[in-house]
Amino acid sequence: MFAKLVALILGFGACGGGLLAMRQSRLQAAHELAEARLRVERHELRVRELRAQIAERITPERVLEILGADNAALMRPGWTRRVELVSPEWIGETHEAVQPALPASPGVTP
Amino acid sequence: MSPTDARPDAARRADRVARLLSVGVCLVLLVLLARIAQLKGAPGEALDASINSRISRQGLDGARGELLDRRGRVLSTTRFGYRVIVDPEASGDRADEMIVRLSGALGMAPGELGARVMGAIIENDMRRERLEKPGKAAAVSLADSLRRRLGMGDLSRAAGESYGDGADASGAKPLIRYLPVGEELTLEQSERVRGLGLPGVWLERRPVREYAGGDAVAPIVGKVGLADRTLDQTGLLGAELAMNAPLRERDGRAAYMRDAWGRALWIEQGAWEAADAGESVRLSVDLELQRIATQELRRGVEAADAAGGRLIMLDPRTGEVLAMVDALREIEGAVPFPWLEKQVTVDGQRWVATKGELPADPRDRPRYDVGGTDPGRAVHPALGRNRCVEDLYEPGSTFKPFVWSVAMEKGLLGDDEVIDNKANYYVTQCGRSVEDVTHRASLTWDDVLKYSSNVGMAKLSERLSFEQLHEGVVRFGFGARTGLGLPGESAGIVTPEKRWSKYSQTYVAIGHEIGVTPIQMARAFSCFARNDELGGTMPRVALVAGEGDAAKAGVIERVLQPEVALRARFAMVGVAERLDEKIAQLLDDAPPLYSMFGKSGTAQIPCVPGPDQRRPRGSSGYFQNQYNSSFIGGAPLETPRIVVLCVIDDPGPGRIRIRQHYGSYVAGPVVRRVVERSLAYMGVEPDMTDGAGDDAVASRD
Repeated sequence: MFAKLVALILGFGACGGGLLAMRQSRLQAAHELAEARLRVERHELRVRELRAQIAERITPERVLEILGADNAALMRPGWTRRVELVSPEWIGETHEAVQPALPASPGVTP
Repeated sequence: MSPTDARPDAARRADRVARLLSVGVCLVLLVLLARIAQLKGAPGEALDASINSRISRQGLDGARGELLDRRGRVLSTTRFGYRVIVDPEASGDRADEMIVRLSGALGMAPGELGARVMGAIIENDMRRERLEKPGKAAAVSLADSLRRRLGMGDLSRAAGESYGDGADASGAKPLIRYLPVGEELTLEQSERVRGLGLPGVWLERRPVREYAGGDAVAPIVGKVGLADRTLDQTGLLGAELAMNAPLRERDGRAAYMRDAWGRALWIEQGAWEAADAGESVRLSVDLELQRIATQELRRGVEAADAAGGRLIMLDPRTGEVLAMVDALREIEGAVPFPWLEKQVTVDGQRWVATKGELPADPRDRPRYDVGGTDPGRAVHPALGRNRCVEDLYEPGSTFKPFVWSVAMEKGLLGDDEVIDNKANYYVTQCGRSVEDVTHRASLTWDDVLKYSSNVGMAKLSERLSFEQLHEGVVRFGFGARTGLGLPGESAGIVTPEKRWSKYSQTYVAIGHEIGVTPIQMARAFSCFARNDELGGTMPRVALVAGEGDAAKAGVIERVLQPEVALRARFAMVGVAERLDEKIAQLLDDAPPLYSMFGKSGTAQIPCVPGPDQRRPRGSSGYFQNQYNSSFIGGAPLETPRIVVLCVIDDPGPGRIRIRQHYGSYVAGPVVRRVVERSLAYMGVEPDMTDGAGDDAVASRD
């Protein structure tokens, strides 16, 4: 009888302990989730601040200042810099030369 | 009783006890369960208060949407700043320690912070006394409070002593619990302050609008302020006001259970309502085009020794405003005009000259300040008047293409007709004589535009009926707001049809007796710069960058037949050619790379009194020898991508003396330079180069 009683109490204890452990892990997960949400909120604020700082530093005036007088030509209109860097023939030749060296990825048909 | 009988009894007893015990344990457990359920489901008042005190509620701040330029550069954006708020009551006896530690974190002198916090504590002492004994007369002095704070014994209240300067004699003020200290903090600084964990010190988060686009676009972007009794931002000026609805944010809220250390334990379902940021709005302006326009306008204003200038750049295909600049320049020696000011006395009202007298001889008159006062601009560029949409000017000869086109469309101008102008003198139907600045003995109708002939235009206006000319002017949108959306836009002034006279007929034809805004002029001129079926139509001006087939969406209405608009455009090529000749002759500019058409104009500045002002005797309706000189043009000629209008306000007397104050001398070069630089930036192929474009552009850099 005593053994039954002990078993009953131990059983209840084990159940309770198990339930408590589960509750604790749920709490832990909820806590981490809540912390994460609040952290995301803080990061968003930080992103906003950085975005404002970046925006102020990349206006055309600031970019010109950064480039300096020597490199201001980089700001020249696009059509004046439209030069043929590579010829189509060169592209074709290079493509052929490079192709065998590239390992074929599985599932990608050439 | 034998031992064998006794054993079952003992066993039975033990069994009963065990059963009772297990029932008891089960009952206890059931009671416990019921209690737990009751505590969870329906806690008592005391427990409920305790649970609730562990729930943190916080607002989630939504950020106002961003204003971007047409290429996505940020013009204005919102970040969050922090401000330290001290509750002098909550710091208790540790105020000294709090002051020292907080000043260290804020980088403030402890004395400065101490004076502020201790001042509030002392003030609170006085207020508390007053609150505790409301019926009593002012009974505690500043000196008393100081003595107590400094440990110099109890109060020695002297009857009749008054509060210090900071106290309210009525004594009904509440205690100070909200004391902002120091400057706005960055996120890092705020984390540092939060980490100190000082009692009575907390951080207030508030949105800060950053205007990354700078002063150049400030009049367009505008400004925000705080909405009534909140920390939410609301547009007050410019695009911030015009686009307030889409930009507006929606704040969220969150509630979470916290542990003993204040850390978030969990967020209940539905207790997190995320904030919604406002939409970002892409404006039609381009920051680089705005920079180019600002630079060239300022250069032009300086070169002309002018009091100011205005410049508008439109995309004629869509009506989008690409740049809008308004510059004012202080003129040394310019004096205020001697208006007569109204003074009301017991005998009635009289008009008094408070700023000197007007010299009788016009040649003795000084240069008057015609820019007007704009105190807001001195505070912040966004607070000034945006004269491109708010202020009127007489367009002078830049108005001629509109009247010319109206007559051309009516079939009143013969293709082969030659106008005789040997005398360079013509008396109009209203009895006033007109003459041309550039005399040509004979003129075709195209020459009338090319040489800006007043004689030709006077003759032309006589062929139009009053109704035809008035209707033509109104058709181009003059006298009505463009609907750009910027606050304070003026509708301009067009003489009403009932009061239209033979004077109006002559003067309006040469751009006088009409008040226009630069934005109206640029929009109307766009009808000459649109191609194909859109030729002769006016775009709807827009401050927001369009999407999709904006060219067709931008049509308001047809104002001219396409062939008439095209004819006017090509007639105005001659004006641009003459401008380029002048630039080549007088300035050191590189040869142009883009073909252009345009029209120059010069008109005296109207002398219009303000409220409670009158013109002095001897003055006319115009300032003597003070002009608005303007040039409006479109480029490239075949497929115009931009329309640029420049108005130079009041070119200096030096320019007038050498007769180089006209629009083609002072405003024309500005337009030409803006056209050259802007089209190159926009990647438009030059159409006036034989391959030397690269070198020409390189030399300009």
